[in-house]
Amino acid sequence: MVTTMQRRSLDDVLEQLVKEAGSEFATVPVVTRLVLRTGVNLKQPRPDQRFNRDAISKVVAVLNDMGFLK
Amino acid sequence: MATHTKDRTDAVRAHVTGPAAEAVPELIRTLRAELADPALVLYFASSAYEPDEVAGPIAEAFDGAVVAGCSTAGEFTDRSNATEGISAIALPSSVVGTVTAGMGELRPDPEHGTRAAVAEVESALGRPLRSLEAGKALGFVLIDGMSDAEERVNAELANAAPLLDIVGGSAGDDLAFKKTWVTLHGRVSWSGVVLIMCEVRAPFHIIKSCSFRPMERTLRVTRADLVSRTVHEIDGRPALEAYAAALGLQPHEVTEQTLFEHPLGLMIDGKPWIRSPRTVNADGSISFYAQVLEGCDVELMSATDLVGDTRSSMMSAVEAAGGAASGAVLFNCVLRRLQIDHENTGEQFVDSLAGVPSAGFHTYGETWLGHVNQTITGVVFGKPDNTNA
Repeated sequence: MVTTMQRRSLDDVLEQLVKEAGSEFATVPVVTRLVLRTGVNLKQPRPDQRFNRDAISKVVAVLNDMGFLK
Repeated sequence: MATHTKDRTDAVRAHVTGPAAEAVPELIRTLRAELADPALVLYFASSAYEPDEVAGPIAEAFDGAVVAGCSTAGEFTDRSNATEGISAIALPSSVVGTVTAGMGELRPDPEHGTRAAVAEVESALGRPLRSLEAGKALGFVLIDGMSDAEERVNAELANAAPLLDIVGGSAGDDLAFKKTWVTLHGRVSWSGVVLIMCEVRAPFHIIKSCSFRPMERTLRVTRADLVSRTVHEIDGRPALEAYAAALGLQPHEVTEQTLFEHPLGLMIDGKPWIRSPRTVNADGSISFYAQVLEGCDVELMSATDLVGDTRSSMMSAVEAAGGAASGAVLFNCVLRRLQIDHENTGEQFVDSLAGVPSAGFHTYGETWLGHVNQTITGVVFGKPDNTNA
């Protein structure tokens, strides 16, 4: 499992989410909810967000609230 | 007077008008004549009715079902579109399966109230919501339209069940913008949330359709306040100035019509999630009917064909649900209703529901995975013969 310290990018976060959700298809509602709550598209992040610590933290926090990446 | 359906479909819908003493019994008779023991009854009533005139009698008449409703800014079926009436749909267990429901108070704490509604559902289910299988469970949510709490409600629903489809609408009060109500069985709340969960037996497909396309003018929100749903700055400039410039206008040329015709769209997988401007403020900020997040990119939108797009979405949903529909529950933004009224396309709007036995209402906001504006959301159920089981 990718730990907090190892989540260097939103790609790492997505990889972990797909593993936990069971499939990329299953992540669709989660990714949509993430965009609506954080403004970050985990599957198509803006270049300035991909490695941005604040964006990663914000996304991980919401995913934690949804029961993922704990 | 009732619009009576004699169609041989699995869902039964009705639309009545007139004083409650006549309309409510007529509604009940119409539904019971076609479906005596539904699993779920949803009704959407003008705020001209007192909730006690509606909630108790309908709940008593269908005491074996989950019965829920709310006040509206207009209501419709696939046969009629009107205000000051009641639309309703009764769905059998062969379509919606086992149904559970819960209710919570959004004031003073929307998160607490939503969790209370979730807890009531989970208590009835006997298991956590997140244990329900996506694609085989569907939620409906009715939210007080005057609490400005839709984002917080949706966040709590997502925290409880991130993979499940939950659709719904914000209650209305016929454009008075004073107070709305939601009901579950005979319980009434003037600041509530009702969550209904169906372990569906028929295939279903979610509808989300807005009649806007991006103008290929991307704006970055650089300062915003979530509580007031206000955007202060776009691209580092006062919001009104940047919004007007993107449209080729001077700030003083931005009118209510401009705001109506050019909402913002948060693009996800090429589809817009609309944020509708509500008002321009004296300080040059713009307040919206939904939160617009600081740091996000949004697209300036322009209108397409509301009726045509709605019809396309309905037909696609019917196809996706197996090619034949047993019913639909729909939540249509009141801003779309105003456009329909202005363009005198009420009949065409009803026709765009493609003959699917439908009931719905004109809302103060729509829900699917989150809060959205100027959109029609909902669900089309397929025939139980093409069951998921």
